[in-house]
Amino acid sequence: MKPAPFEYFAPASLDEAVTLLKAYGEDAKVIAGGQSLIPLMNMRLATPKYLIDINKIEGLDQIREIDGHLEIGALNRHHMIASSELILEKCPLLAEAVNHVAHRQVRHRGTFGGSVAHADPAAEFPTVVTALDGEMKLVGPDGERWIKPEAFFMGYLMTAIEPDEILTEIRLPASSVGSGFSVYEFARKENYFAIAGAVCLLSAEGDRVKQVALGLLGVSPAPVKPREAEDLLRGHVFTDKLVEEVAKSVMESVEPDSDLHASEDYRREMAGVVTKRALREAFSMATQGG
Amino acid sequence: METLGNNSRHSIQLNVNGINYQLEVEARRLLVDVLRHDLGLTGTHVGCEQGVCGSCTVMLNGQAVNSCLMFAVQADGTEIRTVEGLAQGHELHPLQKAFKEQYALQCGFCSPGVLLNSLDLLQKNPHPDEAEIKEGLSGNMCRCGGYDNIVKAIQEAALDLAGKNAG
Repeated sequence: MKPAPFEYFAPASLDEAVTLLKAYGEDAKVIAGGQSLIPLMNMRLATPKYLIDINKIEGLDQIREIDGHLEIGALNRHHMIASSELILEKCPLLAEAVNHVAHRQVRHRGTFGGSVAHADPAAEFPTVVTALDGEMKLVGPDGERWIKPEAFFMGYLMTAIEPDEILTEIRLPASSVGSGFSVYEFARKENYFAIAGAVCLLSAEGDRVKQVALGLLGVSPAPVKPREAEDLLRGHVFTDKLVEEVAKSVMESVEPDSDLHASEDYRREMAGVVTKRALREAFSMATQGG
Repeated sequence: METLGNNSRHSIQLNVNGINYQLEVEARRLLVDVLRHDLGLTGTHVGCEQGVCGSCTVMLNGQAVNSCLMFAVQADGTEIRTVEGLAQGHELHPLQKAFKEQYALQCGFCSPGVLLNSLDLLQKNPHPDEAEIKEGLSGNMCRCGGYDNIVKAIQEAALDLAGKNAG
């Protein structure tokens, strides 16, 4: 199919974009990379009357380090995230996540902010942002506000972005907890939507886990940060028994749905499996890799 | 019935395979449809229209993208290379030559997209191993299942291109 008719705007400034959004409200949609929105428009699952293209707005593709945080502009494309020296050094988990996002054609066009705003629970970026307890900057007619992941991701493809707001920036802790990380996914085919996936950033002190951040994707209506499971790990000796306990805790904290690809029970089981594998990978990297 | 939006029209300029075009397009017109219908460049194919099959892959400012996941108006001022821009006159591009020699196409529907994505892959990674080629091609589907020969052809083209660059 082809998209339904719409009026197209490519504002040159954020102010102009917000003014347009304020005027057109829910009839308008922001487009950045378009890699999630255009498929929906091609299928006419989305029929916005007004399309506000933010690609021409300057200053939304910066990556900088400020006060122990990385501030990443929403318009950074996936391949830019994967090749940014700053991200590779200070948030390698995010760079690694790109290797699991769709395909190279999509990575050239899709944006970091677009993926976070689309809020697909099987997507990598929303889960990394949730695991690392990042923060989203929303700009609207009344100014800007910052919002944490657990308030931002409200459910399947649902976020706290108001119709007249734009996601402009995402803040993540720089080199937050250490040296081991993993993105472990189970999918039917390389780079396809994961049936279940876990992201993990971990630091170790001897045989103990020092700091840990965990995130689960594909197994709940929104990205999951299993805080109880993290508590089980923090400060404890990393043993097989502990890993099993953590996996069990994760399986209790997720709320998977059944669909064509996997049943609820299967997804829950796989949430445990990917957690264990991601943890082992991250711990081994943290202890061996330095 | 839900009312639809107005269809705005826009003046755009595209450079496709080295030729400049001034066009007027509807906002909702996909880049792939402008290439095929307005410019007659039907070598770029339309498959899934959702970024899965890769048959519409073109190079946009030197990077492989799905031309079904972009509105033509967004491509204003860009340089585009399609499969028609690979050969130099009657001289096939090393990738095309390798695809021919390795029988890397059966029905040919996916070939233009595979060729353009492979070109992008080899420009960024001139010596990919088999796993890197397969990963690089994850966004291109061959419904004939002819992947083995496609991988072989890309390996052959990589050697050919490396030789050319060395010489």
